[in-house]
Amino acid sequence: MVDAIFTNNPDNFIPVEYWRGGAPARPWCNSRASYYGSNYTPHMIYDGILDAEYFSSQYLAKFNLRKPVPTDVTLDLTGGPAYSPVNWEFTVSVCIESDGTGRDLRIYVIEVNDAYPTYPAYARNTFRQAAATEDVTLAAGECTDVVRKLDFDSIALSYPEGVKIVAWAQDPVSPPPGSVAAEVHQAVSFDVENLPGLYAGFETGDLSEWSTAYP
Amino acid sequence: MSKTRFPRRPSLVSLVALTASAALMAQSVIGADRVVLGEYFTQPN
Repeated sequence: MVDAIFTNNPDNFIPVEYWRGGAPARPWCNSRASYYGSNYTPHMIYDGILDAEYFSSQYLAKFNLRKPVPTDVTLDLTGGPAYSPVNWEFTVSVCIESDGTGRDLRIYVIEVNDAYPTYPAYARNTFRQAAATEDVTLAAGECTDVVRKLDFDSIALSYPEGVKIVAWAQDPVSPPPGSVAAEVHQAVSFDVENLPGLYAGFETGDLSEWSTAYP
Repeated sequence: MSKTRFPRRPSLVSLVALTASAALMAQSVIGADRVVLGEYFTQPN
């Protein structure tokens, strides 16, 4: 169901899958579960405030409830430059529209891999790593940038087509235990394969970096 | 004998060289269109 929603709403939905066991599990996955008081799987939470629980049959209906809710927060996610072949900088430009409401926001920047541990569709956007969060305070019509550097591991570099950077702006609160009460106001993703320089010569036509084979 | 080119991954050196002068790429959320974040907790079967 997650795969179907993602496939059919590529511009309006970003799943992040936190594995609670197996090779893809990361400590941050458990921290995130604790944040919401989640103690079972599968468990879907939309925008930090809409709990779809384990009822996969309700995932689409609840997504459709959340999608049309307006927001006054905009995010712009920019990739590059690189400081080494594996260390890249990402900038999240956070704004509140001029007719919006000023508020405090916590900005998250994470890496997911859409091809790990298996190719889609069984796993989508598997969580890999998170940068430190940053709390910002914005008035209506105001913007700020949050800059983070991330190191890509061998799994990411072996198949960069599956790697994405995901950022979101969430209320900087700690939900009461066992509750879902920290609204995400906006989210954005960046396909790492779009990083300038990740592929050589495709735009210029200079294919000197390509190998030659003799059939 | 014919030759066929196949793409390979850029070397580490070429990655650094190319990224030094490359323009930034961006993917933006425009206006008040909402992108829903779905945080999904799962585990192996």
